[in-house]
Amino acid sequence: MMLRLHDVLFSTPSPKVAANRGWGGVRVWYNDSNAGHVSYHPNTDSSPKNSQAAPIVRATTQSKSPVHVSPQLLCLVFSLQSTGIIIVTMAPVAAATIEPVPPVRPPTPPPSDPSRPLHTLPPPFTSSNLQLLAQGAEALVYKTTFLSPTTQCVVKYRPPKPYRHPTLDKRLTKARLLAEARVLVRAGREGVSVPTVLGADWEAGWLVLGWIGGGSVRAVLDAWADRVKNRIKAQEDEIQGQDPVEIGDEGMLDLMRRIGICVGHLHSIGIAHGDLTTSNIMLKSPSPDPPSTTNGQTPVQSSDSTGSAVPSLAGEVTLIDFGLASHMMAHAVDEEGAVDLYVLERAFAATHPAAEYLFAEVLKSYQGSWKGARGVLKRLDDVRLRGRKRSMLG
Amino acid sequence: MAIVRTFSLPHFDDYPVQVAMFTEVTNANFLRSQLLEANPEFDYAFLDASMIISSLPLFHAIAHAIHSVLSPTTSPLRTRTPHSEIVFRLHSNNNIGESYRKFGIADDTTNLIAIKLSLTPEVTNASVADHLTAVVQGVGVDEGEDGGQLGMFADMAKIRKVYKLNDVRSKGKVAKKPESKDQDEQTKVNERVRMERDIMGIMTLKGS
Ligand SMILES: Nc1ncnc2c1ncn2[C@@H]1O[C@H](COP(=O)(O)OP(=O)(O)OP(=O)(O)O)[C@@H](O)[C@H]1O
Ligand SMILES: [Mg+2]
Repeated sequence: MMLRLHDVLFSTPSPKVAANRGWGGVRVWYNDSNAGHVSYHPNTDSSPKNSQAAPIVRATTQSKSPVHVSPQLLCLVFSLQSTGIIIVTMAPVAAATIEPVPPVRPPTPPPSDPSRPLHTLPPPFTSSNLQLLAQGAEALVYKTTFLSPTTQCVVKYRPPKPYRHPTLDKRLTKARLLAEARVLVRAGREGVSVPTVLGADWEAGWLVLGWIGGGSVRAVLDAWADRVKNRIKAQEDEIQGQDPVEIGDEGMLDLMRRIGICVGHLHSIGIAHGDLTTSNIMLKSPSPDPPSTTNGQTPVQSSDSTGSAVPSLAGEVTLIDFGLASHMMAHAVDEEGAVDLYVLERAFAATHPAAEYLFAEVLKSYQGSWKGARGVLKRLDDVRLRGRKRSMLG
Repeated sequence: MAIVRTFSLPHFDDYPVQVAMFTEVTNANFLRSQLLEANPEFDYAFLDASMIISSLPLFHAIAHAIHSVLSPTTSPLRTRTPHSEIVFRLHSNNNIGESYRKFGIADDTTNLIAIKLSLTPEVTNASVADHLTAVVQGVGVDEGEDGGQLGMFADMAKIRKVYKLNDVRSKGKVAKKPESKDQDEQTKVNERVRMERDIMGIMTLKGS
């Protein structure tokens, strides 16, 4: 399969995807505002914002120079005049985003609507009824209401990127938003608990999703880790040598099983999440999605013996943030599924060393949740090994 | 006697929408003929209420129609008028004629939802109520302050068919027999919530 250079740029994963998937070697490629120039930033963290920082390789190629893409090897072979052959390993991208793009015209100055600063939302979201939740590299996320005063939602807005070619930027924004919405609708229809898709304007760059009341698994794990620390301290004061991980009570283990089943369900319908961190797994509070305000209860807060608040473990395990999700190609299911699990494992490990014990329960229930699970778990070992090698190299 | 409710959709507060629901309508053929003649007095979205599962899909269609009026550069109207856009938006495909056949009124429609956008200040709750009372032969039904009753005439089988939704209970595993009447009710409610959610997604992806 031959693609033109700018086609590849169009479908190159974002720095974040590349980092998440742990692809080594040349990691990040993106188009400078100059079409036809390719910058290589060896550091996955080098965001386009810092593109002033001198790249190690800056090669000028004609945007027409052919690039060979091998879907089997999942790698791109770039031929650059100055540096010879560079192999770029990358994850396969959603089929929808690999589409021919008309030749990029000479760059025009970045689009700027001087009447509106970049970080305000486009119409109709101009009222004060907006609460900023997150401002990531890709999207702004606000909480608001939509369609009815009681329908709480989030608006995900992808602002234009001034350093990108305007036409390319529009297409990219639209393709990514659409891909996210399509995956959400598909997953929802297959019975995976995800936010409802309430509305969108692809050209304007916004997508409205139903609100998931309830906390994240990350909050649950953090609270659990605090309890573990307290317990270990108490044990050091009293009886020694008892296994601290026994603190994982039945409620936590049950939650882990539900997470494993949910991820397995998602993989079983051929979708990889792409950013499966513990913040992106929520516990949806029991009240229905469009809540009738009369009994829109917040999740119950119970207390443990030490009296500190414990986030509720009740609520349906619900996945959010499908901005990096993709339909897995048949030959890549093991790999993409394993990368999802690996990302989740790292997120658990970052909470507390003892969380490994909880994650084992996630994997156990994942294994029994769908028929492709064995292959994925087998591949997980390879992915872990790659990850370890990478961290040894620094 | 028309019962008209005025809704202000969040972020579209300057453009309220007037909604009236009727049952036992006997002159749908007349109303339809006025639409076909493009009589300016009949600039409404007249919908077959059996195709509306709940307020949310209807509000989605209305919100996106108003949005198209306000933001034509990113979301141009794809039909002639904001009211026809509402009918168009409800369907999952891009065929305007088919949208009217499935969601608009037919000569034998008895359960009707009439929608009028207040895009200009003359269009008020009272003006719409007067006009509809004069022209619709039927019984006004109150859809509730929050539009909670807008799905009361929903024909689930027809809706499932038009959006190509599988019957959850007939798909895959055979569902367990409900153990009690309460449980059966709960299953029905859950299914409705599920269908509504799927429809919202399908409508959003329309034409993409
Ligand atoms: N449907 C939702 N219901 C409730 N909260 C949500 C919802 N979607 C997003 N959030 C909140 O907003 C945050 C950011 O949303 P999301 O992760 O989708 O955006 P993002 O820009 O892709 O972020 P990231 O930087 O993680 O890629 C989430 O971590 C969550 O706290
Ligand atoms: Mg996130």
